[in-house]
Amino acid sequence: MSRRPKKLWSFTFLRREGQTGLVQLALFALCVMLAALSVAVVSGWRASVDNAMASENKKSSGGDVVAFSTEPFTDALLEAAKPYGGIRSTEMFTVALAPKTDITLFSKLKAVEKGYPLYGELPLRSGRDPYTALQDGLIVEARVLERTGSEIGDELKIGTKSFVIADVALSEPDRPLGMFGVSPRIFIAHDQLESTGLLRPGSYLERRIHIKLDDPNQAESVAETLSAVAIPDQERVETWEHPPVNMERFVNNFFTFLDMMAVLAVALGGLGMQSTLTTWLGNRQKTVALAKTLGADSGFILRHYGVLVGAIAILGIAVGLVEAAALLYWSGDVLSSMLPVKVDPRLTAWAAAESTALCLLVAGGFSYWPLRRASTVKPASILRSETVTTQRRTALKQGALATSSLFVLLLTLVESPTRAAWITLSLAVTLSVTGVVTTWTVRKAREWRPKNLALRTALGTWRDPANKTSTVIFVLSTCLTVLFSAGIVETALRENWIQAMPPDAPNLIFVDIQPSQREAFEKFVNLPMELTASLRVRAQSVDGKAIDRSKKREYWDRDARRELDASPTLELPSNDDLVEGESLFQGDDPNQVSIRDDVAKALKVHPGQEVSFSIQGVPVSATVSSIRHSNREGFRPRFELLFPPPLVEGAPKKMFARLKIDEDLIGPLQTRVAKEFPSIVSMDISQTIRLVAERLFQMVGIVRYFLLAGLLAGVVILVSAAWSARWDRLRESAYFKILGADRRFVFRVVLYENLALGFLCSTLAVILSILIGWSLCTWQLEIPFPDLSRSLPGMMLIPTALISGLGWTLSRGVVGAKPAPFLRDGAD
Amino acid sequence: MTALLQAIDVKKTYIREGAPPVEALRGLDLHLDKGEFLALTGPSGCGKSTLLTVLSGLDLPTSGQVLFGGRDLTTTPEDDLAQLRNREIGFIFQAFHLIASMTALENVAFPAQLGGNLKAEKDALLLLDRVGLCDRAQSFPHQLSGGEKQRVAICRAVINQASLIFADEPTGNLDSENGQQVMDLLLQLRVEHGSSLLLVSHSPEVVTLADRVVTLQDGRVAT
Repeated sequence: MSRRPKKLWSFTFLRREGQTGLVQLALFALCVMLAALSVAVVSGWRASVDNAMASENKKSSGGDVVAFSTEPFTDALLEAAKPYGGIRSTEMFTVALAPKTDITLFSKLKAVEKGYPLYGELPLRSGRDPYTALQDGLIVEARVLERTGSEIGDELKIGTKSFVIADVALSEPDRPLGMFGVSPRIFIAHDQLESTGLLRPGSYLERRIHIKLDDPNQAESVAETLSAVAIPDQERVETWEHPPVNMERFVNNFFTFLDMMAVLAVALGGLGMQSTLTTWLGNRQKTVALAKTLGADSGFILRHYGVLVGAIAILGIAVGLVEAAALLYWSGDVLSSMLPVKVDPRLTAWAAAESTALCLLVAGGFSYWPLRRASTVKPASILRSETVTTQRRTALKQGALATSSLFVLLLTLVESPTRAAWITLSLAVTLSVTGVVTTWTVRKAREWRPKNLALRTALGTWRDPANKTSTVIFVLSTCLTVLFSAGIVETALRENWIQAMPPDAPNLIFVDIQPSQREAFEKFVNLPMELTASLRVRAQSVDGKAIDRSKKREYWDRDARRELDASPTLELPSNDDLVEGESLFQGDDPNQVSIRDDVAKALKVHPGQEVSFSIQGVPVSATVSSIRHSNREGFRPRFELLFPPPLVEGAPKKMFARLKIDEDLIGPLQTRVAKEFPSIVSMDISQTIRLVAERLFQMVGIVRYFLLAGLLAGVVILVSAAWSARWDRLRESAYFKILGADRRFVFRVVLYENLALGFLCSTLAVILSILIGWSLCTWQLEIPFPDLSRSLPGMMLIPTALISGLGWTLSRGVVGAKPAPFLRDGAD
Repeated sequence: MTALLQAIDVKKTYIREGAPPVEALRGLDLHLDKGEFLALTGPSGCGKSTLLTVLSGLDLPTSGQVLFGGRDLTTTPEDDLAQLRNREIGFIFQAFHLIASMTALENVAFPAQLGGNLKAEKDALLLLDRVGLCDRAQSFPHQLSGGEKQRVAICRAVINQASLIFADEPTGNLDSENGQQVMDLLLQLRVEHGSSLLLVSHSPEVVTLADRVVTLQDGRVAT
């Protein structure tokens, strides 16, 4: 037999098949577009943040090499730093008082020397050089003027001394973690700091030496030289190449979270792609069989439909990228407000290419099985209608293929195989659980035989193996579950933390109270307050073995080398629970310490072990008596270490006071205290919480965006399923009528079916989100689960109404279907 | 005469979940000579359509052999079967089975294009002209009457000069006048192209036109 061309193409077939599936292919393109949009936005954001972090590392680090200390620098370090020049800065919280308006402001004071900043600029409103301005007085952030009602030229009292506000700073190069904007910045000349009276022993401040090198490549070796003479853990030396771990952690967590949301949106979009394609190709079964009857082979089918799907995917990706470019352009300010760096997100050529490749991969992963199944349709099915059902093994293969493509996507996004694997696993488990619950529920609903004929008929339509109800419910309930979970956590945070702090929670805190000031302070304030002593402690050794300080610094909560908060007490704090040890302390021996569980984990200690500490130079040794877990309820202090008071009798300590007073009295009291005790810092907690809450809800907004993208994929599947089944539904309705049913009956069947769909989506989402929300509140956030009695009806009714309404709109034509056309020949 | 198509002890059993197996063909032997017109008849459910799918290579028998020009279709790879159907076999169905998304002209030209014929559309147009449908060449199937659809299907079956045409109740959906026209056309074109014809029909008028008639009963040849 002579061979025909191996890769035969029929452009007529291609064109005509494309035309038949316009609606389904448009829905497919929409799903691809959603995936491309999500991936490109996250890629664009990540690229811009990485660029900003890289280019601003020197600026945010404040120099090529920076030495840090909370205590005055030792002579040895100052001497070692001398050959490299360098300038000093000191940063601390303080309360500024505006005598003109009598308004106080919790602010962050920064004392800088001439030459600051070494990298970047400190632009002033007047255009002057910062050092010249500092000779005239203070440089403040514009918010200082706004909040204190002051103007340039007015006085501002810092500590015990009044200064003139000389200028306004428009931006600051090295304030990486000022993102919450709780404490506006005030600059002061370094040589003026002493005169404020704020430099007291034990004050919470950070001193820095900033060094700019002629050859920045020497940074590591200079840092090593300085580190060699630095007092371990008191003086720390960093280079610009290592951004602060907290900033790195924040950015990493932020993007892990965004990656998860984006991948969830992509996964749901992928399901939408698979569903729309399966539906469309299912409708083309007769055509495929016929083409094969006429001589087309599987390769012909796979090639032609593959090209169509590929072309539509590219179109969807192109539209998604254009939308992503617009979204990135407009999202700069919002993103900058949440991150430690100023970003200017743009869709770069690389990000666009990467997103295109990833989306093609995902589209390929989710399209492969529908295409493969279409190509294997037997020609005999032209004479026999064959219902294609997904076998368990095929479903597992599909799942494995889809999971693999998501893993590759994540691997590219997060660039860490372990994290990518964890996120993929979490998503796969979440989606599998939702999938199993959905399948089980739909099966039970199908098996149910209610007495009401219309309802029974409605649920009976779900028995059709080609019916997409399970997929629709799965996707919609998954999106709703995550949306509701986010809502529940948001409500919990509002109720427990932001709106209604517990009745006994303080709304005003005074810190940096010297023990010698205690009596006078209590007398002056003359209000009920809870005074607590606090100590600043560093762990030195465990069972005589010095703590390894050579390792790279870990994230804050995993690094026990940092300064720890401690308090002298004999009582277990009300928000603490013992996890190891029978009581807080055993017997009357004063040489004991109770350690918080996270610190114990970092130190790797258990009760009975000996730990030595340094309390601002005072050595203390103690046996671990117990390990505690502190929850975050009620804004109570969560001390990492608790000592019996006699053990730390002679150690330097500070006091802080917690007050719950009428909100209107907070401002006047702050002003009075600032005048009488300039070194004592006050914090209006409710104002702080409100500012933090603003940022928190902005993040919730981002979560909602991604989830809405996923929800749209669910709607696409619903529309696709309704569109593809419309002919069968019309015929079914016509048959009902032929058999004697009236319009009301058909109306009820359609109504019940859509109500059941909406109700099941909402119910599953509510149940799963309550479980997830409860788990997060209980185990992660450690706050009580919120009262949902008022929001539950809305969570149930609104999605039910929306989904049923949409379903009803899509299938309303069924009610009016005329039986006659279905009695005529409808083979073609 | 040389046998173009031969079925040897062909059995076909359908196994469906939750239902007893259905023996559609129970050891059937049949042959069709080159240029012969064989009519296949029998009551509903006797296995006529099943036999047609098995003989044409659209489906595999459960056991037995189907030889086309001496080649066993039961062992021929799927892609080769597709090529064989394209080159050697034409199909006409009771329900027409035209591709709904293609015009009449495109439907007829499609098998020729699959075979790599560069002037497929020209050939198709000539055929449509031959059956009096030149003016309906750009019409879609839903715009054609039953008789017109079947004439398009006949053109499609013969465009590749098939050596064998399978016709499954080709007049079953047509009125007697249209049915007569379609049969006349089918027989004319068969003669012109020198094709064999295996036709399944219930109609005594149609069956009498055949060179030979085989009656099926319960999956076996009765006469």
